[in-house]
Amino acid sequence: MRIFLIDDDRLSIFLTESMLALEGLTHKTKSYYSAEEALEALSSGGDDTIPNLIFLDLNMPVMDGWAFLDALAYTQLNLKIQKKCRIYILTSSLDLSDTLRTKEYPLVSGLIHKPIKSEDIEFIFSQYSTQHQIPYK
Amino acid sequence: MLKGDKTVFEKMLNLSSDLFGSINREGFIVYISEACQSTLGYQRSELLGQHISEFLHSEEIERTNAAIRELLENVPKTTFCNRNIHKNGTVVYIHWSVVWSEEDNVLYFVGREITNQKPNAGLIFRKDEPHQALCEHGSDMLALFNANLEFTYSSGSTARLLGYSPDQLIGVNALTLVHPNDLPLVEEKLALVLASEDHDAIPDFRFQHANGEWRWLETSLSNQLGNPAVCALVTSTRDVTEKYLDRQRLMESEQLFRSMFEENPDTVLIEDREGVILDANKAAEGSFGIPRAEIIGKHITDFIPPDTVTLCMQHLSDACEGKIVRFELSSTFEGHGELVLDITKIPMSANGKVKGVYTVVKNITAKVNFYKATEEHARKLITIFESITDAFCTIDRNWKYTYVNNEFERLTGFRKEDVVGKTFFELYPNEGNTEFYRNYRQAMETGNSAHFDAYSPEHGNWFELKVFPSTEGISIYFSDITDKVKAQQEVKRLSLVASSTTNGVVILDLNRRVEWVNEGFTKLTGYSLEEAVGKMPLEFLAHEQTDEAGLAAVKEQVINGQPIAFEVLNKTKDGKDLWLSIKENPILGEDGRLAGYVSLQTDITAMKKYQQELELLSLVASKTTHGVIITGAEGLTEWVNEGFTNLTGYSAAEIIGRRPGSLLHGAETDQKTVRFMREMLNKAVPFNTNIINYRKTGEKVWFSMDITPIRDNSGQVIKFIAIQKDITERKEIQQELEKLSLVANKTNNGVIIADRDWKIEWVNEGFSKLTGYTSPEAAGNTPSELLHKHSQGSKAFNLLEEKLLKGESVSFEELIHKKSGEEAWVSVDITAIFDENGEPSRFIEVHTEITLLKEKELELSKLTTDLNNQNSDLQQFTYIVSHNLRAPVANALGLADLLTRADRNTDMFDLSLANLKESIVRLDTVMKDMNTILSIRDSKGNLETEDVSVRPVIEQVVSSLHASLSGCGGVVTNSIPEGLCVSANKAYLYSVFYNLLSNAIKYRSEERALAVSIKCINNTEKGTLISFSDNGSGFDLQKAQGNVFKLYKRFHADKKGRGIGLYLVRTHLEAIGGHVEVTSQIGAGTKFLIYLRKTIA
Repeated sequence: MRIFLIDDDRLSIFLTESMLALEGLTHKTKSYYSAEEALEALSSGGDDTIPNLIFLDLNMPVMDGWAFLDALAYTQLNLKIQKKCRIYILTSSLDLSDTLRTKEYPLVSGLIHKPIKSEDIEFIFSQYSTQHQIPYK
Repeated sequence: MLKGDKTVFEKMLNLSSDLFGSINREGFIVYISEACQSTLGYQRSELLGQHISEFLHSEEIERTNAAIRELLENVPKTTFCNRNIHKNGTVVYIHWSVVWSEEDNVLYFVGREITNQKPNAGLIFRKDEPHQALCEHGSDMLALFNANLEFTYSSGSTARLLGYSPDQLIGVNALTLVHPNDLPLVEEKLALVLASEDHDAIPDFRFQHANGEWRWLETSLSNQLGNPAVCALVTSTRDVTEKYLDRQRLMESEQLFRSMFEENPDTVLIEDREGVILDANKAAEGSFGIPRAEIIGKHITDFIPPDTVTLCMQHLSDACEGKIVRFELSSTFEGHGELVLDITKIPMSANGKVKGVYTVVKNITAKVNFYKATEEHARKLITIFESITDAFCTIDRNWKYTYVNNEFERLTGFRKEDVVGKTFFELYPNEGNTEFYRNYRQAMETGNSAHFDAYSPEHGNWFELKVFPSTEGISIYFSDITDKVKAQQEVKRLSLVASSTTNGVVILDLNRRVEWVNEGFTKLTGYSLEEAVGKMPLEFLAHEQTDEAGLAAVKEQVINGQPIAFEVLNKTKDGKDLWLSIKENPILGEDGRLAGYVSLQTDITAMKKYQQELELLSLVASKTTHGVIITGAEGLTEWVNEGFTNLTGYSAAEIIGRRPGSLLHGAETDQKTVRFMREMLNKAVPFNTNIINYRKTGEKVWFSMDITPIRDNSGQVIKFIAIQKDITERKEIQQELEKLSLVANKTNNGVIIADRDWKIEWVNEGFSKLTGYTSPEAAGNTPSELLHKHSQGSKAFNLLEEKLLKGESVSFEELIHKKSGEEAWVSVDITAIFDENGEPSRFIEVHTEITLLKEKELELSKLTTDLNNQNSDLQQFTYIVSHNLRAPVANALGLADLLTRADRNTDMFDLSLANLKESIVRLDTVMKDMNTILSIRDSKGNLETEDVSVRPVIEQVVSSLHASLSGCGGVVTNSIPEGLCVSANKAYLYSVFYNLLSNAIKYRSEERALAVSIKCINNTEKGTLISFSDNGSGFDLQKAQGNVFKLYKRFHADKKGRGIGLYLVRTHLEAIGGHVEVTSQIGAGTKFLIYLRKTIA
């Protein structure tokens, strides 16, 4: 399984990576410190670069999580992402409006409040493997 | 080939008495058969490898070499005879057949000895001396050839006739010297002879002489090849060139004669002495209409009309006597009608005797007829010329008179026969360059006809001449005009007298065409004598308003010989109107008959104009709706117009002879005005006044009076003209307005009265109090010009104008500028006043000041805006807190959890611990930010401000950031003047510039050293505008949208930052009553405009 982490907060990335490692998922994890970088990587790479999971932070400079999702929706990537990849928003925000806004984006599979917990990871992977018929461990 | 075969073959070769062998291309023997022993006396071994010259006769070497060369070049195979030397020294004749093998690169040869045959041939001619002499010197050339047609012998006569020495031809192929065109003939004959072994002759073929010339030869040849005694082709040849050429020339001349006869377009016959036709040409067939065979043999008389027989026979017999006869025959020919024939008979003689006659018949009927027609035509022309009443003559290009008519004789006194054939110069020796000659010559040279009058001293007469050029020369018509010219001259002399008068004098001929005009006429009309002569006056003087019918009546009278006077409107040459008074008298000739007219013209234009003007004026005066009164100098009415009657009700009859005032003045008539009028009348100057008069009905009227004195030439007043206008209505409105304004003047509100174009006519005192403008200052301006100088005019009003024009009053509020520049809020009410046509004639504006009210209203609305802003700030604050405050907390939570799970001895544990610490530091930072923000927020409204000098604050900021500035080589230019003070909190102002400068350093461009410029752009009593610009990396203003100054908004992913700096800049500025704007361009820099308030004293 390939995983993208998109977050400008170094600490947050460290935390998420460590949690994924502790859950024993030594999958290919790639971290991006800006949404633009991630978008560039998605657009320029072939189909293989598209990950199975994306953890997306909302509050980032220049291009925030929402802008990233908007940008995705307007590219040819849209269909490929829909098919192959699940996007989870990973945010420190507790604002209800963010949770509501998530519903407007069909690409987003769910919203997780930071810090990410073992249960969250287990749930996400079980969901993923149910849908894609892949054992995750 | 098998070896056995080769041996057999070789044996065969060696047994043969013929000589077989091969040589290479240089002539060295490669192989030779045994026969060399028997034929040449050499052993094979002796000859192998030797050159053939070893046994060749010395005289044959060159020829043999030539034969070999030829073989090598083109001929595949050749045969020839030559002489060889036997080893014992004897001559051996050998006939060779040689072939070149490209494949083997050798010449194969077969040789047969013919010594026993060959010498015999040579001996034939040597045996017998006389025979030999015949061969050598006879006129025939004798020669022998072998089967290849190569000369083996030629007699000595060949050298004489063809230039070749006998030896030169030996071995030469005869055909190579035959003309290519004759080759086929020669070859054909040769083939015949060679095949038949017989003899034949070849006639007339060309053979090349040694000098290159072609000679015609005739040859008889005999095939003696089979005769062993001769073994050759024997030929006897004769040069027939001269004979041949003679025959050729004869043939050509016969052909020439034949074609001359046959192809002649005229009929040609050959008759014998008796007239029998011996031959006829093609044309004759056409003329006689029968084939030649039927013409030949007939007698000539069978073809000519009977009446011409005698004549024709006579001419024939004349020709037979050796004369060339030529005559014309004109008669009726059967089937052809009337013909004219030109016949020439030429005797044909042989041996001095006339054998026949060569007759050429030319049909010249058409030519003769044409000539006749031309003659007839000329005769007719002459008749015409004679009947012309003008004198007429023609002169050809050589200046010779070719024709003159009877009138010419009469006028010139010359006789026809003395003139025709003579040249002009012979006739008029003294007229080399007179007007006649010049005109004739010009006509001849240019081809243009000429028309002129000229005096001929030769004849003592004036002539009028018309000259027409033609290809032959010129035709001249002329008539004697001496009398006419003299009459004209007479008139001219007379008119010299007339010409000095200023009046126009015109002399007309009987047809009423101008003969002469004087200078007076030219001055009046602009037309010179030359321009006028020959024309009818009406043709060039007519005016579009000329009374033509009247002129026609005048003409009628004048033609009857009566003197007449009339006036007519003309037009001058430059288009001006010209009235002429014309007196016209007939001129009677000596015979008492009418000869022309004299017309005397006086310019009456000025008079006419005056008259017309007067008419026009009186028309105006009588028709105008204004009243017009004309009084005498004493003031008694002389005339009034209809307008007067309409205005006053008095008829002309009622007022004439009385003073106007006596009828019109009444009770309310202002006596002051009356006195004023009297005074002005006495002074006799034009004046205007308004006065109350009374109509006949007793009704009161306001009149505006314009009174003008009229003076005569001496300056004496003779009349007064008064024009009266009814201004009652105007006067009433004015009075009403004045009353109204009296009321208006007393109110505290501002009142404006404006005309229909919104020009202010009047304002009241209240308006002056309100705005500071007095009535005279305001008059003539529109309200918006006056009150909205600095703004775009009253928008509120524009929307309402339509309503106003419908007759409704409109009200609105607007901000106006007083004269002092102060602003004031007023409530405006506008009402339109309409005239009788329903058009607005005036507008009345009432202004009520509502500034205080308005200010309160504005304050309230500002309060609402502030509240709104605070509310949205609060919302934003909540949002920020949920994101930015929560982030480090979430991290801390996560890391704490991680620590519980991680092994204490791993790197991850240490990292997690470090990160946990960082998270908590961040949390602390955010908490501090919150504190700052909240403290600023709280300070709003109750912050103590003081006068702060800007420059030192900036200097302080620069020095505190000195380390980072010098670290990046940045330069700050602080152009803020010393002593520039603003109302601010010093700490806040410091924060503003600190944040701006630290941002400039953080986001500087990597490509250039940072340069920051801080300037004061504008400084007024109210506030100061400062610009803070850098040359840094800039940002995309469009992408940033309105978020630049918002909390925790960041625009650079690559630089660390909290997103609080510009937020603080904004909030700090706002707390001290200022604000900030930004412009930026990526890669070029960013510019902040900071507005700071001044202390309001």
